[in-house]
Amino acid sequence: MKWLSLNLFLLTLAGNWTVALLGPVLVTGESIKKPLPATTPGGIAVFDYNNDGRLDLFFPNGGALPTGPKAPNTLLRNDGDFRFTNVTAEAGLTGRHYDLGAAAADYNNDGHPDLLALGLRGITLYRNEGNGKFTDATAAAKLDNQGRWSVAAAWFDMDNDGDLDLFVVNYVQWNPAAEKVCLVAGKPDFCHPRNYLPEPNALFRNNGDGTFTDVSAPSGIAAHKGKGMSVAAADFDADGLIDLYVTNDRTFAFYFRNLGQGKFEECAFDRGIAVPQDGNPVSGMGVSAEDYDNDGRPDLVYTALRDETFPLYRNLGKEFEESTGKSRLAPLTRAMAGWGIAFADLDNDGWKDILAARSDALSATGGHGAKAKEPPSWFRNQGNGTFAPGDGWAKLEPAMYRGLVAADLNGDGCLDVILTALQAAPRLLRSPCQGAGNWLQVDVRELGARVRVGQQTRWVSSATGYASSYLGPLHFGLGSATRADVEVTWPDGRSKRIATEANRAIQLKP
Amino acid sequence: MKLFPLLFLAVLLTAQEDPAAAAARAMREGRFADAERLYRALIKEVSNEPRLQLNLALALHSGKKYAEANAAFAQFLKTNPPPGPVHLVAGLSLLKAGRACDAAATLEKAKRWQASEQVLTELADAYSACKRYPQSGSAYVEAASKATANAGRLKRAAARAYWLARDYPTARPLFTALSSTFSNDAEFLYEFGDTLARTEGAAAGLPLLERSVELAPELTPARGALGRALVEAGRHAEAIPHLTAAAPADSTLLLPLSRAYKATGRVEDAARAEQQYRKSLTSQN
Repeated sequence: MKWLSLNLFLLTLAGNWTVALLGPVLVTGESIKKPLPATTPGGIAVFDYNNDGRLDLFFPNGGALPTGPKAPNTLLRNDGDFRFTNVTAEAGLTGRHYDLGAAAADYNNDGHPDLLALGLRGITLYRNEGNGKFTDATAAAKLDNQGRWSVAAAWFDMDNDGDLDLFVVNYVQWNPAAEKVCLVAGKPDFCHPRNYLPEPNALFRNNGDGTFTDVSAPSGIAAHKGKGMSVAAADFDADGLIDLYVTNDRTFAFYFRNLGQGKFEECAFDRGIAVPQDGNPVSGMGVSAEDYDNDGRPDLVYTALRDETFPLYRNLGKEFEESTGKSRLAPLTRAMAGWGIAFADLDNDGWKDILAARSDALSATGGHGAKAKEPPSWFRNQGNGTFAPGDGWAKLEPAMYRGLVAADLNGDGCLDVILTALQAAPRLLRSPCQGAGNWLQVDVRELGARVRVGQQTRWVSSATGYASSYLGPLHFGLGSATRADVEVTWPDGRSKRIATEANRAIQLKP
Repeated sequence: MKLFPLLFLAVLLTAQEDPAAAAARAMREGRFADAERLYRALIKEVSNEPRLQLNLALALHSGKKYAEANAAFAQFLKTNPPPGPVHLVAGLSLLKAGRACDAAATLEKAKRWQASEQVLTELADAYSACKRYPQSGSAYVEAASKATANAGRLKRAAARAYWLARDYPTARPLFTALSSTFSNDAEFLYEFGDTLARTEGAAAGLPLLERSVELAPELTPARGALGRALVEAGRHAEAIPHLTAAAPADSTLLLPLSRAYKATGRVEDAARAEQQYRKSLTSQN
């Protein structure tokens, strides 16, 4: 066992945020030939694999390209007080393929969260045996993504039958033998996505017996080919069924509205969320769906590349309104390129802020040079529909950041931030937790449940940001409030209301 | 670039060379073809001295034979002379020959010799033609800081360069400072209005875009920007004619046009525009 004490790995102090390295380097397989997969790794899964009440960390890893040794994935067990132990080998999560993303959920309802790894050549389902070990259950579960390059996934109960179905986001067709040499400013760099053919996404229905059925075609999902980068799952139209929003690279996004009966309708244009309203398509990267304006409806924000801004859509009920300009997010993000993103209340004021892992899609040794590296950013929600630059992150080291997840890793009531970066060790930004407001954490575990705390609403979903996953208590900032009314509505319609004191974590069951 | 400095340079470099006196006289008298012939003969028959290559290059440049001048300058520059006026003329010759990116590299050396208004202006022009807009903007700003008479024109060029670089926060104060000077310049108003619409929202940019289109209805990109801003401001009916006029040149405008149709109850037109938009987008990918 290897202790990863943050006291030994402290890097810098940025504002009052403490930065530390976490575990092994993310290996991308980048070379002078700039194989496209090398720009896409960096997912994170944050989940409590051993049910000890502390959130653990999983980092999928890549390896040599086009084929070659795989760099081992990493599972870090949270031992409390920001101490982690690398338990990858004993957990059986080292992996066999070039992995990019991860999605955690209890697919077999045994009380132990399982893990899906998404990779360049397919997906791997790791069943949690409940004894600290995982078993590769991909074949037994009849999960076959047909060798497609998958990046992200959402576990969700599409038919409210009590078990979790699986939506897999696929990127593009990649043939290393046909990879072109692309030049940017005279230097070899990653090719534009237009050089690659799109792929359809995949939907697998949980049969309830540990196996899945591929329903991509009959559900209507397979009819739409894109260049998928990430997915957000939420009941966007408040009809009791979880819908899906998929960002695509340099082409319009998909909104798969859940019609029930296992059918989906792609209607992103009808809802005004296919492309930003000016008509310029953007490189949709990571996505987050949360209610940022506290009106009870899940809104959307996603990252894109420089001069594209990070589009923000406010959910009006039947359709969406693009609020990138009104919210001030357009000028704040126009010069930025981003990947991971999350709505999260960093200052516990009751308004969800926006956090972004930034960097160019091009190589740090390519046409843009070191300018491809950027620091992460957060934007403070001012509670009036606008955002302002957040404090404390501007001096963080620029890097090729990719994944980002916000999670309270030490139970102090403030959100810490986990980041991955290409060819670098993952970073932990530890919150100073000074001057922050009161808080409440609500653990309902069941994906698709809706939790209301005062005026705030959140939906339990494990898909977050870019290629990443969070399966843990929902965090709510309460500002100066010392009590809160909590209402939980589970996917089967049951609900529960309680009133509670602030500054605690509670667990609610139907 | 005025001719005088070139002639002066040529005279300086040739005055002490008796065999080259005829060539130097031809340069002084503006007989560049004769000078070229004489320098070629000298190089062939007498010497391949670098200074003769330079003088030949100057003769060719002065005779507007830029491609041949570039080759002669390249021969001379192989001797790796310290940064100096030759880099300015060689860079200018490359720029005239349409090799802007090569010109920029040469003019960067000229800047190390002398960061004068003239060198910085030529360098900014080269960056701009090479589509290195951020560097172009920076060089124009530096040139403007040294300028006596041309400061306004250089600041205008800097603002445009930053706008082309899509660095709107940097462009904005430059445009603002020039707004009274260019209040009747349609292109200026378009670029400034577009900048404000992107950084401050549609309402901030609309008056300038409206004025730009009023002054120059044929300025299609301005009509496109005005149409987009009108849609964002909820003035859908007003947006339609502008977007319709500009969409043939920019298919991304079909989406805001579709939204404008939809908002004004023209459902079939909206569907058609959206269909065209999706088709154009799909074909680009």
